[in-house]
Amino acid sequence: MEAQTATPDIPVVRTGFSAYAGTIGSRIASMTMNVLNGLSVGIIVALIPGALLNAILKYLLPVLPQVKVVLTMTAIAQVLLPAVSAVCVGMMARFTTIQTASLALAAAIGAGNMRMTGNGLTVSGTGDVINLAVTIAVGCLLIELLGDALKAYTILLIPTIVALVAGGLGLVTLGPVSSITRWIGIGVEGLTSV
Amino acid sequence: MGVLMGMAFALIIVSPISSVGIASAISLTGIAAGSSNLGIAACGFVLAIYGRKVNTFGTSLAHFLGSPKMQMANLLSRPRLLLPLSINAAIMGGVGAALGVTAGPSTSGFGFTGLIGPLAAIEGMGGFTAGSVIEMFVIFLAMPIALGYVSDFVFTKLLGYQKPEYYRIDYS
Repeated sequence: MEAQTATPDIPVVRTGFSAYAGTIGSRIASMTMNVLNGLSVGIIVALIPGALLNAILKYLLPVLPQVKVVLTMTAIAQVLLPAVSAVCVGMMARFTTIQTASLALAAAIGAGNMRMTGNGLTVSGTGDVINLAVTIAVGCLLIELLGDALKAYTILLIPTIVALVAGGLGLVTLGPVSSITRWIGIGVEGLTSV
Repeated sequence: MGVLMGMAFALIIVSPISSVGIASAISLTGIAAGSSNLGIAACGFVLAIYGRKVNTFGTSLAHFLGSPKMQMANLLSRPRLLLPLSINAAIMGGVGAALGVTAGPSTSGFGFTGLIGPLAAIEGMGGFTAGSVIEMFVIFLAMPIALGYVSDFVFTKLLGYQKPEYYRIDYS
């Protein structure tokens, strides 16, 4: 009995709508796990250079100003967290190159750490990770739904559709979703007065 | 308060929510911030210890040198695993509050990551002295590790509440 209930680890090859051979429930479950696993790897990859080096570098900075460039490097790694996470999710979901790269576009749009200002694009921090998860999940769903239905037009349409639809939905949800962080913050603030 | 802060931040760090985002959103400072760092540090060490037999050494180190968030998928797919780690985080948060470990708004929510929590604690103790460095080592390293092994013994060996397999992280 146990052998039957265990879900196989073998990834299903996505071929358009025929990919829906498995039950919808198990496919959503595996997609959720891909998003979570990919996110946690992406977060670690983007943050680890800074986590390992920044503390030491800040003490070196007064005596060795040249290390500032290394701080810049770790900062650049950090702000790429959304795109890096999406690439991890795409690889775990066994997406194609175009699908994975398109998911990265959507993630970078939805994370909200890049904003257009008077001086051009300004990027700061890692963005809202919850909204990043939402954007990537929408992007995955969209990619699964489209499959290879677009045939010869894949290279033209997948990046544009995924970036605009999933990324655009991410922009829409960014406001409400980032208020989740605020609410939890208010809750945590309440704990400090206990 | 320290107990609750440690526990809250340990749970936040293993969820998709950004602990640093929360800490900076409410400008967490003082003892509350120090407890948040200790809760996260305890969480990182205990997770590394739980999974040490199934994960590579580098992966284990990444739990506290990087972020305990790497266990997010494992923990969210088995929410009962949140209990053992929050007990340790609560204890360390309480210890931190009792000993007056502090941090600032820009140095809370990190835990052991990048040594930001420990260095903030040393600054809070009045800068680098032999005493403050030793205290930092005890609070941020020795105690969380010791508690981690105790927790691993109780929950994995004694109670059979969890298996090291549950904490497996495979980067192939």
